[in-house]
Amino acid sequence: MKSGIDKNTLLKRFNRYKMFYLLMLPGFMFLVIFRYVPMLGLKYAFYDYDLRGIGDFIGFEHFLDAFKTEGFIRAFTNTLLLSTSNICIQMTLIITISLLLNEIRNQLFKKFVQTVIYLPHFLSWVVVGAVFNLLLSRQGGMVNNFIKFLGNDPLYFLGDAKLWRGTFLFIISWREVGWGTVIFLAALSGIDPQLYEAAKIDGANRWRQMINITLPHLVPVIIIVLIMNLAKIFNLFESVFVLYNPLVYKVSDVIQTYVYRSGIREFRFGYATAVGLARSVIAFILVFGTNQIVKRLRGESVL
Amino acid sequence: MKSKAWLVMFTLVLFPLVLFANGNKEATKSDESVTKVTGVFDRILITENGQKEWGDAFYNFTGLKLDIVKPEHNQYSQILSTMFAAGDYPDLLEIQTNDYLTFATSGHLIPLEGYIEASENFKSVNKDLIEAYRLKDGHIYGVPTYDGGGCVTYIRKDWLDNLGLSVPTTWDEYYNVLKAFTLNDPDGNGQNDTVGLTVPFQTGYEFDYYNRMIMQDAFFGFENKNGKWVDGFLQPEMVEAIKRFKKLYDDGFLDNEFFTNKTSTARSKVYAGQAGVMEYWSGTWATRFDDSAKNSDPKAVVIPIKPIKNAYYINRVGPAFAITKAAKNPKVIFEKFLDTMVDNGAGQVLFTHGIEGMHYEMKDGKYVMMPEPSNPDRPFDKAFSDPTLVMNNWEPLVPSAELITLSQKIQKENSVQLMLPQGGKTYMKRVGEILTLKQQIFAEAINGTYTVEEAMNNYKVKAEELGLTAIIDELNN
Repeated sequence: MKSGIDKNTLLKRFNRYKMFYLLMLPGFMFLVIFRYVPMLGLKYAFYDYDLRGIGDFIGFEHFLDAFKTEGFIRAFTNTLLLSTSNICIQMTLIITISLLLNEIRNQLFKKFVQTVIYLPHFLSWVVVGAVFNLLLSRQGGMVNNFIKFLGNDPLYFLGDAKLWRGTFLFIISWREVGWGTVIFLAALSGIDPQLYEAAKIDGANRWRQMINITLPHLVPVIIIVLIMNLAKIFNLFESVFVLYNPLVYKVSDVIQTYVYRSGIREFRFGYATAVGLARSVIAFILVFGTNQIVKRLRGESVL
Repeated sequence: MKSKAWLVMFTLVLFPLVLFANGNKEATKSDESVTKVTGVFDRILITENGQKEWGDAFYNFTGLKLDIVKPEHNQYSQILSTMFAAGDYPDLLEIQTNDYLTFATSGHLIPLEGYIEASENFKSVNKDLIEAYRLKDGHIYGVPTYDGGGCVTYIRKDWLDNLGLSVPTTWDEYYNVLKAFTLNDPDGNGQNDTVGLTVPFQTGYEFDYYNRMIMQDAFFGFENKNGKWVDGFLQPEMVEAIKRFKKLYDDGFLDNEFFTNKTSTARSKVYAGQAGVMEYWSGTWATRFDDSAKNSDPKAVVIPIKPIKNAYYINRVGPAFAITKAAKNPKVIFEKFLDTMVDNGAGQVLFTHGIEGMHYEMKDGKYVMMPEPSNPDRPFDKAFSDPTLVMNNWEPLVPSAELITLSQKIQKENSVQLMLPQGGKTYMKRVGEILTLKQQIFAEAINGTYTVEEAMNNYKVKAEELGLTAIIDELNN
């Protein structure tokens, strides 16, 4: 009897919101067709699959092989290092810039700054790679010309293993930080102005207002963005692909470039699928783990 | 309200149908008769240069309708392999040299030696070029698209003249020319803005096609030495080659952007008068180098030169045409497509010069190439097969420019023919990682991260971990 009532309630609710469900349908279908159906291909991680076709079932052989291969371990370490540094640097810069932008009172100037810092995001990585290769070149590149002007030796920013990571993190931040402020600025605009007015009456200066009102209101957004970024932690590809070279493989080769080389260029489809699957599982653990930590600390979770 | 809901429902259902409608259209393709075949090609002329017209002309000539797929050159291998992975096999395909072994052993290609032996036209094709594609199982799964050719060294002759130097014939002379090109203001502009040698860093086994003046008798990849396959990187000759690279790099006579250079970047440095020497393909590139350098300096003269003492050029195994098991009638495809390519007549003209009136024409009693449709500033060079890399005794209608002929003569007379290494399972599995390891170790040795000897020891240990001994065994058995 109870389930009958539930069923009726469910049907009633469905009937009430049917137009919304209908509107949701294309997106849902897109999700299923292009995100879930391709997951059926994950089975190839357990098969001997190359250009000859799908061979025997080999269980976890590809996974064991990957974890024994120096190339994979190096790619894994580099990915973790680059992505974690990237998240830390970008989050810090994004929050700082968002707070600074929020303090600008001249709206025209604020819009101008926003537009300028958004622009790099719309350049493709191929263009960004070419531009920075020119700017950082030791043969007439603007940066090295300036270094030489100061009386120092030119630096091989993209060819020196000691400089590559820093250069890469700078370039990726240059492209993404501006765009990253969009979410934070939206969150900042949602803070109740009365809180600031009350703080002013209580004698809080702008610094105190920022610390005691703005930042606490940004924490939920920071957590969401952090978890979303963690989900993408192993997705570094284009940015590395256009900026790396054999001189810096040791510090630059990441999982996606490794998968590209072994899967697409060496036709080891099964192996590349296994590496890709391992990458996804680790990313899932990271996201889930972070979510659990957040849940413990704040009593609420994002997922 | 109900009619509105139906309207929304109808639109939503229609949307995916429209989205996937194209897929249904493709499904009917299998019903086509054998007179229409799908071909995936790399070097065929682009759409803007008249690919469709060429396909029509080919159909009129042979009765075979080609459904041409031409991926971007720099993604060709990846796209072709993805098609195979998806089970979407074309009837006919072009395979890049480095991929031939993998495709040939994939079990999806048909052996062609029977058709080759039965073909009258193939009797005039250089036998060595065909035999290069024979696998250990005795079968030939591909035929050359053209004579593979190779690279030669191009040098700024006007810079040599300005500095009172002659064409180098030994390593010492070569080194001194690069030094003078770097330090002695060869263009006379009063600025220190030139470098002796520029090269791109080749990330595949193409490394052995280039850099021959420095490499000399060394090989980056696997080489057949005295009838036995060895890892060229571990031979004593390679140690000396790395030392020569390092010396040029340390002294600043080799482009210090060597590792980040792409081929186009390196070429543009020669065109712009920033570098005086570069190794690149013989043939039509000879005139492109000279013409492009003249664009920035009308007095520029770029010429191909012979290799220095102890060095030689390479004649590579070229890309191959192959027929898959998906083809309904491979015999017809062989006869109408591959045989026509080397028919010593109108078919070969179509494959090389293209269509009369569109790509070439008769002028003052002589055949000349017409401007390239997509870039009228330069003449059209080839429809598919390079007329300067002919595999049989056919004489092209349009004679090549003097520089082109010279570059090819130099390359042919001073080159050794490469062979394709044929390894087994370990080779296929590990060759990519070994190549990456070589690139890294080579780069770090040049860079001074460790000495050349340390680099070689390092390579030996790591390559062994990747199964190098097993690979060498596979290559030799």
